[in-house]
This record gives sequence, structure tokens and C-alpha cells, in this order.
Amino acid sequence: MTQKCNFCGGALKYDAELQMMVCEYCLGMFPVEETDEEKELTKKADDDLKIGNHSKIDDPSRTDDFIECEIYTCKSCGAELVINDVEASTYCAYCGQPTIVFDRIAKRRRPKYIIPFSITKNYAIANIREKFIQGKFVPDEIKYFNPDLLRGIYVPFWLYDICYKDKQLIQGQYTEKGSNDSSTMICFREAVATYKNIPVDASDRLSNESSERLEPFYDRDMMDFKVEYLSGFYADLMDSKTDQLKTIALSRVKEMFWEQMQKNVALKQCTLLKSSPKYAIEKEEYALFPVWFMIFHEGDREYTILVNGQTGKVVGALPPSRPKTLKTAIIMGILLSVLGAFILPRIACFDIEMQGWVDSVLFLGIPALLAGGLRNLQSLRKSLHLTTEKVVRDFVKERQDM
Amino acid sequence: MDLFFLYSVAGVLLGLSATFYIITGMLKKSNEIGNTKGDRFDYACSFDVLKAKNQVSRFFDIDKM
Repeated sequence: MTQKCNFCGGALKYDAELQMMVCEYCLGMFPVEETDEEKELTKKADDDLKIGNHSKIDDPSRTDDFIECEIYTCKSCGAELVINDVEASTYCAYCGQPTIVFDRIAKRRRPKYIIPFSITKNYAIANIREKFIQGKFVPDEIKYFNPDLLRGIYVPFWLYDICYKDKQLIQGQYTEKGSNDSSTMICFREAVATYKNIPVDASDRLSNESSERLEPFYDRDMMDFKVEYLSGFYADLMDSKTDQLKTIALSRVKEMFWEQMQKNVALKQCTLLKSSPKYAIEKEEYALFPVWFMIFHEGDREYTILVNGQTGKVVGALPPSRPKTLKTAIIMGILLSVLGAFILPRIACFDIEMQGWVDSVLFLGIPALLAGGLRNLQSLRKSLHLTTEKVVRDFVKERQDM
Repeated sequence: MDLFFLYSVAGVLLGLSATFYIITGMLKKSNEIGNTKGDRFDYACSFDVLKAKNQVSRFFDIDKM
């Protein structure tokens, strides 16, 4: 389905800045409204669902041994397009018109909500540039990058409302006010918490780690789903099993509940000794959230930077510049080593009591600093891995070009 | 004198460890974009403590409460 302009018949695209449908030929603007075609197909889909006529695509006995491709005919030029089994909107590779695969939305599970793009393509690039320029150790050739590819893609999410109740036995360190001594204490708490709209990425082709880092998505801009919002962007429908998604949502709830519980008991170094959790999933809704994906290359490596299409939050990691890092490390290393070599022996040899203090600093400080440094490196390495992951690149690249 | 030399060496090691920690921290801050848990939305609407008891035994039966 291609939305047509009432004035000139050109294809309409959803404009993120104006939040309206815009014709790129005559610049005519129209509000986002359901078309007659969509109303008819929505009614048909609702009727199908009532009589239990679900699509074969939702059949859980399908295996992943085969790649499913569907042939779709472009309504503008009649060309045949090969699209994968979850694409819901794309561009025709021949005439460049935005195309919504409407039949698929009508037959498969239709999203209930959508957060339309409010960050434009140019704003996304400007945000990315700003982050790159701020980085002291970002190589100069990356700071002034040229994007190879920038695509706005609606990513499918499931939203969960969960009520979680637990009885917990918690052990921690308690320090009385005005005292330096701490003792071990065990506390019992029973609490109930409700969580609303916990988003879980429902696309198998995008890692949950990447999509979690894009959060938050605010529900203030969440609208009832209308197919018109997809025009001008790419979109995928869900392909993850809902059981797996529930497990992910529950593990997030468990983590948040534990954080709140630790604040309540006000103990340090808490460990959970026993728990007896109960939960109820009160609501599950299916929504599409906007994400900009930008691919650029440096040398022979390709990087994918993500931008939240609602808030503009940039997510990704960049390789450090070796010359800048080495220069800073050498200067700092020399300064701190000289300081350490000069001050430490003078303090230690000055007084026998001070020697004990210096020994503690050395025995505890050196391993702690090394462990902290390794944690920082690990975190950066993990982020770099997500940014250069082939799965995410293919998620972006394997689509029809404009 | 030996002790003085030993502590000098230890001081150098401490300095190098601190450099490692500071440099990796600066790299993380400069090159890792958007991985801040603090930005992630708190989805909790309510949190109510129904029962609380401090200084209980490790063998406290939570199911009986």
C-alpha cells in the first residue's frame, strides 16, 4: 500500500519534524488518518481473529532452517520486491516509493501502539557528531565521518505491566550512626510492587542489550497504531517467541525489585538468602518504537550507531585513537610513578604506624585499581562488540534501497 | 636503605596502577556512548512494604509470615 497525495498523486511520507504526512513532490501536508483501505483490512483482521483464523506464519512448529522470502508487488510501478518474513514497510528498489506491506500487518499480529519518529534524520546525524566530537580519544578520522547508510526503522517491542510480590530474607552490613563498627544483620521484608510498560525487544535480529541501551522510550508520545506512520521508514514486525520475552521482562522486574528492597533495608553489601516470589502479568501490548541506525566505516571495520528516534539518545562505542591514548598514558604514567616513588617511601620510613597504613594502601589499593581498570576495559570492549556486530549491520543493510 | 628502595618500587607500581585505572576510565567516558543505566527509565509505579522485621535468624521461615 502506498499513500497518495490528494493534489498530485505522489507518495506520502510521515515527517518526523512536522508530525504529518508530507508529499515530497508538491509539499502538500495532511494529518495522519486511517485510509479506507486500512479500515477494511483492519475489520477483516478483527473478524479473522474472532473466528480463530490465524496466519500460518504464527505457527510455532515452524523451524528456522529455511529463509522465508515473500514476493510483493509495488503498487506504484508494479515491480516485484523480495522482502523478508518480518518487514512491514520498506522502499521499492525500482521507483523509490515508500511501500507499506499492508497485507502482512493485517494478517499478522497488528501492533496496538506506535511512537512515531520525532527526531529527524539530520538531527540524528547532528547528535551523533556532537557525541563524537566530545570524545577526547576518538580518532579524528571518525569525528568527521561520512555516514555510509542511515535508516529509520521501527523496531517491535512488547510492553508488560507486571505486579510482583516477594518475601525476602536479606543479609547485609549494618553500621550504627556515629560509630565505625559494622555488624552483620539479617532482615525480613515482604513487599509488593507494580511496574508499567516494561519494554522488551521482540526482534530476534536486534540484540536485547542494544535495544535496552536505547531506553527510555516515553509513553507520553505513544499513539494508537496507524499504518500511515510507517510511510517513509522501514519497519519490522515481531519474530521472537512471547515466552522468551516474558522471561526477559520478569528478570528486569526482579532486578528493579531487588534494588528497591536494598534501599529499604538500608544495609551495605546485601545478599539475598531466601525469597518466595509471586507475579502476575496484568497486561501485554505490542508496539513499534522508532530507532535510527547509522553505519559508517573506519579502515576495514564497519560500525553501527543507534539513535533513539524519540529522544535522540545516541548509543554505540568507538575504537580509541592509539596515538592519543599512548601519549596521555605515558605522560600520566611517568608523573604518577615519580610521585609514588618519591612520596611513598618517605611516608613509610618516617613512622612505624604510617608504614602500616602505607602497606594497607598498597595491598588493597593496587589490586582494586587494577580490577577497576579491567572492568572499564571489559565494558568498553563489550560496547565495541555490540557496535561492530554483524547481526545488527545485517538488520540495517538487508533492506530495499531508496 | 633496602626498605626505602622497596617502597620506591611499590610507589612506582601504585602510580602505574592508578594510571591504568584513570586511563581506562577516561577511555570509557570518551568512547562509550549511551551505556548509562541511570538514564534508563524507572518503570516502577508503586512499591509497598507489607511486613518488615529486622535482626532475624538465618533460619527464619519466610513462608510462615
